[in-house]
Amino acid sequence: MTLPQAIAEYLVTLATQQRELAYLQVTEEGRIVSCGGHLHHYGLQKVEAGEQISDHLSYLTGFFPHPTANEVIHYLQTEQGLTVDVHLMSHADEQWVVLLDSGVEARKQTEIQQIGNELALLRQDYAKLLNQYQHQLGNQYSSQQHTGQQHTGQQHAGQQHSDDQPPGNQPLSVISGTHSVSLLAIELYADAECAQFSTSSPSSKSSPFFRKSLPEVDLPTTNQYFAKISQIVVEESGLMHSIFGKRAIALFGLIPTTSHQSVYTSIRTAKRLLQQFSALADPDHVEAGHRDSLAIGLGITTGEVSIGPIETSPGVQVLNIFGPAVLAVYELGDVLSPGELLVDAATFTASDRQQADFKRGSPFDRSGLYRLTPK
Amino acid sequence: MIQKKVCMVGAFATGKTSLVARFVKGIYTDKYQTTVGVKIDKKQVEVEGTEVTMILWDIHGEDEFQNVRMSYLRGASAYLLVIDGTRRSSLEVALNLKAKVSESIGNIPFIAVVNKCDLQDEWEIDEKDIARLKAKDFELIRTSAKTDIGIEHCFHRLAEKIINELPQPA
Repeated sequence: MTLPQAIAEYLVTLATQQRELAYLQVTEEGRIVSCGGHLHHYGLQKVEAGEQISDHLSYLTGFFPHPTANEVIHYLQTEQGLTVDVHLMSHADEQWVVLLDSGVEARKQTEIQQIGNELALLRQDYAKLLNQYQHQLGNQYSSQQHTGQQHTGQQHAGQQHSDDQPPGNQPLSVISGTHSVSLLAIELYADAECAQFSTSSPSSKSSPFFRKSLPEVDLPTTNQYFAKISQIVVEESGLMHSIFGKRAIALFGLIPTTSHQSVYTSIRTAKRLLQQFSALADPDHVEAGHRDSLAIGLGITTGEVSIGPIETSPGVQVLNIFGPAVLAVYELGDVLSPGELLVDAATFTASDRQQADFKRGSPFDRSGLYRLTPK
Repeated sequence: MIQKKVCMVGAFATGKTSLVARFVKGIYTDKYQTTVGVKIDKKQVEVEGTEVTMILWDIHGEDEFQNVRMSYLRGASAYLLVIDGTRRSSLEVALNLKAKVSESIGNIPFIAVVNKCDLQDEWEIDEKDIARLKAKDFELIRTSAKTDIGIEHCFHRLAEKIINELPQPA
C-alpha cells in the first residue's frame, strides 16, 4: 500500500513528536551501529557505535541474537518509570530497535484491567465463601446423621446424604465464626406518617412502626419501593436479608468487596437511598397531598455477628444472623424518622473520615446515636 | 560481574510485583495494583564471590485480558513461578505456564514460590498440592511479601542456580 504523502507525513509526525520515537540499529550480537530520534527521552546519552545495547537498555539483556521475526514488547515500564513499546524488527539484514512512548495507552489499559481483575478476584472470593458454606452444611449433616443413628438407631449404617435426599430440619449452625458486618434498617413511611412526624414531638415517636392504619399504601406500592431499594443494596455489594411489612434489613460485609469496608459501603448505600427518596420526606411534598408516595428512614449498626443456615423445610435454607448488632438494628428501626440516617456509636467510630458528616444526638438527643447532618 | 535476566511468572494477583518491590526496594503495600505489560527492576546479589546483577522482568499475570507471551522470556536465565497460596486456581495457571515456558525456551532454572504465607489460615493450597509439586522435582519456597518471609532466600537461590548453570572455566 502506498500512502499519500500527507498521511505518511502525519504518521511520522505522530510517532516522532507525540510518541517520542527513538531508534537504534544493532548487529546480530546486539552491538550498536547507529541511532537517532528522541534518545534523551529514554535516558540514552553518549551512545556510541560498537557498544552493547544491553549496556544502555539493560532490559534487552539476553535478547540478542534475535530471530528475524519482528516482535513488540508492549508497555515495558523502565526503572525510571517510563512506559515504552519496544519494537524489535529486521529489515534487509539490518536489525533495529525502535522505542515508542506508550504511557498514555498503558494508563488507559491499566484502568480497565484493574477493574476487571478486581471483579475476577471478587468472584473467586464469593465462590470460596459459597464452597465454605456448602462444606459446612455437609459436615453438619454428616454430624447429624451420626448423632441420629446413635440416638434412634433408625438409619442404616453407611447411609449417605445425596443431592436427591435432602437433609431434614437442622439446628442453627455457624458458617465460620464471627463476621464484622454493618446492618442497615430501612423503614418506609407513608405521607400520613410523615405529616405526623413533622408536627409531633420526638417523645411521641416511640413506636412508629404500623402505628397507624394506612389503607392508601397498598402492597404493590410498597413492593415497588423495596424492589428499587433492593437493587441499590445489591449494587453496593449488600445482601437484602429480610423484608417484613415496611421494614427491610440489609447486610454489608458478608459478600467480599473491593473496598473490604462494610461501614463505608453501608453508609454509601444509605446516602444513595436518602438521595433517591429525599423529596418524599420533604414536608412541602407531604402537604401537597401526595398519597401514593413513601418516605424513607435509615439506621446502621455495626458489629460482630454469627451467621448460620437453618433448613426450614427440605431443600429450603434461610440464613440466620445473630449478635448484638442485630438486636440494635431492630431497636434503631423503631426510633427512626422519615428522611433521616442514624448510626450507632460503633458505625460512627469506624466511619473514619465520614465522621464529619454526622452529629451526636442532634437534634433529638438520642443517647449513643449519631445523625447525618444535611449539607 | 555478570548481568542476567530473571522473569516473574504466574497468574494475576499472586504477588509478583510485591515480591519484587520487597526484594528490590524493601517496601510492601496491601493495595492490589495490576501490572500491564512488564515492569523492569534491577538488583545486585553476591553468590559464592560472584556479583550477579539480576534484571528482573515482572511480567503481567495471566488473566482474562492478557496471556503471557513466551517471547517475553527470551534470554531469561531463570524465573520465579509464583503461586498464590490462597487461590488454588493460581496453581493450575502456574503449572500451565511452566509447561509453556519449558516448551518455548527449554528447561532453564526456576523456583516455585508459594506466596502469601502470612495468610496461611486462608490457604487453598494444601499439603497434597505441595507434595504433588515436590514429586515433579519443583524446588518450593514459601514466601510472604507482606511479612518479608523467604524473599531474599528465593532470589538468592535463583542466583545460585544461575551461577551453577554457567559454563565452568577450562
